Amino acid sequence: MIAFSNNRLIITLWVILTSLMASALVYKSASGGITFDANILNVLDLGDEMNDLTKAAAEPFKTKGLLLIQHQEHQESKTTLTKIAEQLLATGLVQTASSEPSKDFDVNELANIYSSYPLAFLSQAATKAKNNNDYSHIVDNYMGLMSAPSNPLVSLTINKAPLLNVADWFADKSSINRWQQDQGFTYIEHENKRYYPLFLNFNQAAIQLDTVVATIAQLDKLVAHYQTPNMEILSSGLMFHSAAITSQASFETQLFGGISIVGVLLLTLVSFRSIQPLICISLLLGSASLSGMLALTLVFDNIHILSLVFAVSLIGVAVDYGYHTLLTAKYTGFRNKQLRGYIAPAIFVSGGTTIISYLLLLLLPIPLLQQVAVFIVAGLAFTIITALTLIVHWPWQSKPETHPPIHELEFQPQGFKVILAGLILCCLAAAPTWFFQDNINAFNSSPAHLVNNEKRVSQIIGNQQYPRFIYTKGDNQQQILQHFEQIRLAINKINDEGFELLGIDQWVPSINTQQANIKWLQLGLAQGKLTPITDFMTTESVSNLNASSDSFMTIEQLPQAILKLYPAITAKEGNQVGILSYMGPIDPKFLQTLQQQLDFPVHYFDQPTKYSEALAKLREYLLLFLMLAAGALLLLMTLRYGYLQGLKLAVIPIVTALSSLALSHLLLGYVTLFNLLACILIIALAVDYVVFLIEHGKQQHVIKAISLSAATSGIAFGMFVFSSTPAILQFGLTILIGVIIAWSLCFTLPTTILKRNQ
Amino acid sequence: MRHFFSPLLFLFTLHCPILHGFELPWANQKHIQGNFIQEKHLAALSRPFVTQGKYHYSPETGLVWNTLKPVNNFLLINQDGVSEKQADGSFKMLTTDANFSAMLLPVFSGDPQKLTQYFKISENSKGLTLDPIAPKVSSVMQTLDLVITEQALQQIILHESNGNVTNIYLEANTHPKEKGQ
Repeated sequence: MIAFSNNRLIITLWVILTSLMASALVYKSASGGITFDANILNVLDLGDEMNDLTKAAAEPFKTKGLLLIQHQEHQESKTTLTKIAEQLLATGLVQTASSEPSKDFDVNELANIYSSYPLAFLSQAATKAKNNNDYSHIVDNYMGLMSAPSNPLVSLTINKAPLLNVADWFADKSSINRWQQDQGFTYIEHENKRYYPLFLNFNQAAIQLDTVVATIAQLDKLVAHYQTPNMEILSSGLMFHSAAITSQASFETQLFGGISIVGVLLLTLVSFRSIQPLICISLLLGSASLSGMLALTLVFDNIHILSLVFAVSLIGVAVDYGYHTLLTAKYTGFRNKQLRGYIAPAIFVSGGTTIISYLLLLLLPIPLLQQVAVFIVAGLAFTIITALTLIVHWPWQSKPETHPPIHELEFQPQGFKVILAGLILCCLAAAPTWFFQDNINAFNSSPAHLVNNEKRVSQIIGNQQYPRFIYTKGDNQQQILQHFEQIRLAINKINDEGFELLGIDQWVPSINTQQANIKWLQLGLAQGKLTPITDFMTTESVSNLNASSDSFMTIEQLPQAILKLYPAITAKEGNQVGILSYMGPIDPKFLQTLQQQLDFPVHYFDQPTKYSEALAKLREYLLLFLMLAAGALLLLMTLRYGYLQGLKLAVIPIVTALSSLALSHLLLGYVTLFNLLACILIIALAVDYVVFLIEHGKQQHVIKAISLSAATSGIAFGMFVFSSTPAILQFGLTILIGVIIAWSLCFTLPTTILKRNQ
Repeated sequence: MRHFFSPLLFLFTLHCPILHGFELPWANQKHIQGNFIQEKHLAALSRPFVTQGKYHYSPETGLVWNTLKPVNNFLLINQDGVSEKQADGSFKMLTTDANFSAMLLPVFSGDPQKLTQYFKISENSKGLTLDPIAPKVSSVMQTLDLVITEQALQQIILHESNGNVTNIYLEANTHPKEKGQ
């Protein structure tokens, strides 16, 4: 009766604690305190400077999408483009959908801003004329512009900038080399086909992680409606990839997660032939995940989806403790205190080892690994609490508290040495060709049709679809602008292929350049070189121009519509860093030639290489962590089981991890950091198996619990090998191999090794 | 009788909301060409900026605006934008903004359908007043007045929002200075 009351009290306390955790998580979720991130690149540490540059460089492209529409009948393309644009705008998913690349510009506003500095701006041709001291260009340009029957640029600028150099400057900006015009539509010709672009600017809210899939699905449905065998519609933009990857990950999570849960529950049901263990296992896994998730949301503001994928490892370890407790109760008849006393040491040793191992991950400066560690440590801690409270004190109705004889295994499986030798051979076979794959492209999971679309769009528009970034440092914004101008000059000298070099200096020349322009034009006025123009000007206009001007245009005066087209100039450790986006190819020779022409350092921000380097760094950290974990394992095992036996027992998880990696290498041709990540779980599982074997002997219920645990992990992670996300496939494959090896070694482990000295 | 009814019919069609019925005298001509004198009356100028030259319009090539005085300048205005002939014979695109450049093309084409696509049309004592429909155009260009004779387009007056006015006299005999000579 007392035991029954105690049980109720303990279970009630457990329920209260779990309810509190669930409430806290619901509150946190409802108050919008949990945000998720799915971009694999965001988990990598590029260093502070590179992280800032990546963000600044990516900003102008984040919301931009492009559709290219092609039909033999041009009118059909234009009609389709108009309809898609109208329907997209009606959905509210996009801010703008235009056939013009710069729809956002307000020409009146720009003309007003620029005309306030009437002598500061010279077009490219006028700059050349300035360099040759040829004022006739300014005069001819004036006469030409005034000869046209209607020119809005003249109308908008002539009152404040009467030499029409500002109108000429705008004509430079609005002339689009690659795009041609057709009745208000822009187009580009490629292989005798005419492609009409629809430039999309998505609403931020429509391309978030939780909305991007629905947004792109809606767009795809709209596009599919117009897609006929004669109509080619190509899409390009980061959001298309983001949607495809998120949708794929979501589908896989649901499919694999569903199959795993059904598999685990079926296994449990078949093994125990009772509903109560099933409830216990479900509560154990549910509460462990709840605890892990709560800890994660309390410690981190932004949670990466990949952290959750890897944190699923918790299921593999948590379920292990549940099976051991339940099977021990079933086979020994132990209950409550007695059961707790019997099972607790093994759970503490194996759980403690795993927790310490995962805690070591917190020492690594990688948020992804820290998130995995927090989730698993919190989840595992609560698993131990649940196993030793709820499950141990579960009010079993069917079994009396008796002490039946412990079931020894009826046979001793052989083959430990053969398996061990085989594994060592595998390691030796993999060693000569050992290769760590750190190339970021190996992890790209974008569907092939999207990648092909991007390539095709790049070919058609004649640019690299995504720019290469060049960056330079300076003491202030003005120095950055001067550097930009010098880089622009140098690139124009190096090649004449006309690839665009996009930078804010295209809209704001440096103050030095503005000063030089003003000085040259004022000199022309003073020397009477511009008389053909000044003859038409009022005296007031001429004296206004002659009056010295100390005001110059700066970046701050630019409207947002222009600013958001370019990466922002960022401040870093007292320096300013500015980024130029080059739409052509960059190779080491090009960079070397460019650098030779400049008296300041210019850097190529090679994103793929930087990411690959970050992956390599992360992989090195993981290797270091695995070595530390192996050291901790050896220490704990020898402390608990003595030097020799501890060493022998610690070797099993280490050999399992090494041979899993070797077999993965033989199958894939390489290993990545995700294979290494899998080794953490493999070691944790193998330690569990070994600890329970030595603590409780090679008994039937122990072997059964290990087998059930291995089968569960095999089902849960084995499903990952069907994933089309390379990282998840690599992770799942190594775990599947590791679980099989760990189980085989433990199953065939000679009892002589398990005999404890004491 | 025929002379009596033509203006009536013309006026009637002008007041109809749909102008598909009326025809401008120069419509359906394969080519229109002649001389022009253009006067720009701009607030920033101490005197009008006057240019003279030749024009040629055909639906296929668009409008050629060849200024001969005070400078030689050859502009081609078509649906692709405004381009200027260079010394080497090539054309340099000045602007691809079709909203503005395309504005004169329906006027020279005389095609009512095209005109209604770009303008709200109303009648005045000398011809037609065209109000641009596109907000981007109307923010700069207030109205276009067309002075029309029975045979031809005589004068185009462009009124800009900032008060600037451009008078374009088409054919030499229609210009007041030349009339006086």
